[in-house]
Amino acid sequence: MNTRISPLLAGVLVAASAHTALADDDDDDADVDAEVAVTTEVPPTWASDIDSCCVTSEHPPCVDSESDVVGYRQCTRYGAWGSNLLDPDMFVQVGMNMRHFAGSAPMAAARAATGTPERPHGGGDDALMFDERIGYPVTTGLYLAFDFELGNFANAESKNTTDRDFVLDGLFSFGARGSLGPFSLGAEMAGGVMQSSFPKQPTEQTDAVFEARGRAELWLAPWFTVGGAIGASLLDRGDWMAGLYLGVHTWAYAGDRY
Amino acid sequence: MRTHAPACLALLGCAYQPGSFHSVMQDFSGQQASVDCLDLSVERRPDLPDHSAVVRYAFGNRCDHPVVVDLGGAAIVGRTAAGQQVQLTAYDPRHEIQVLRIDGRAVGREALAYPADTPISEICIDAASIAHGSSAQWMCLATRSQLVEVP
Repeated sequence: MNTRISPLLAGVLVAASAHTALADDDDDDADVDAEVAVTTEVPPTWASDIDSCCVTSEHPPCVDSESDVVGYRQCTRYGAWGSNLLDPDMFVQVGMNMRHFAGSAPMAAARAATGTPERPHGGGDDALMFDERIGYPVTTGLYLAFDFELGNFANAESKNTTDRDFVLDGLFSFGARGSLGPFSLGAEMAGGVMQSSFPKQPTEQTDAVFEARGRAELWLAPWFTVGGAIGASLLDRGDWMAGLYLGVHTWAYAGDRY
Repeated sequence: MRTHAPACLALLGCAYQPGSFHSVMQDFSGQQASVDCLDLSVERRPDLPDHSAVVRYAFGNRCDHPVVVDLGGAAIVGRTAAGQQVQLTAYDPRHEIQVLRIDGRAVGREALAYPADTPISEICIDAASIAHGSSAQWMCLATRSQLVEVP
């Protein structure tokens, strides 16, 4: 797995660490084979495959101190410079979204807050969301992505019972993008489910989400972007979202610049 | 490149600049050539005790998209002190050398050994063959003093 995406896929790393720990605990035949390979005339095996470098004190880090010549070095495979292209072309984006709800607070909550079933605030309420997004290109210029949004915790102490104190959603999106100089511009449709809770409300409210979005990203480097997105709901008139994010791509310029 | 990835994450500056033959992640010493999207530098190192010639390749992708780097398929010709011409093949006991692509604006390097029965005084490499270019670009490298240590 390429190191660019490894730090971002924390779950994968945790799983890999657990696997390594398990492998070191047992009497792994590979360890025995490795020692034999080093001390005999059979074709050399990879030290980096034998012991997971730098993980335990029992196996010191593998260092190509003797030679960096292919066939003589022990740690680094040929072609490490191209290894990221062996990973899938994908991107991970992390950022913050502001969501505005024109008036979807439950009437019971509104009634409890005001005594009358009128819409609170007159302009709805807002939610500040942490957004994690992972996606991959379907083909050049087209992509699929999954958004996981969570937030509005800062509103938990609010006295206003019609303001959301917790919002969670998962959205799939399908979009198209293209390059314009140092920018990447895109448009997408996103749909999914959002769950919200309100103070003094015993149950959460679940809503369908379907929205149109536009995106603009600036390439800070071939593998890094900073971008913004805006969107409007196609189901609830007046609902909108806007966000900023940082992105990491496993392939330079998302593999779009041919 | 793998080991420098954290630094790149921090600095956002690891993209290769076309034609610069410079990178914070490696040096581009030796003779230089550009073939299509590939900037390539080739340097001959001291021969190994068994007369193997050693060549260090450093390359950077000038383009924003991946391109081929085919070091195993490079056209390489050696010439002995007596003037005899010999075909050279890279030492590859693990059969790991293969045609790979390098990502857009990325850099890489490799050092390959070319076994020979007699000392090779000069090595000529077709840089275009490494990038699968159309017109040949031969680069010739003279011998350097032998190493006495294990490679």
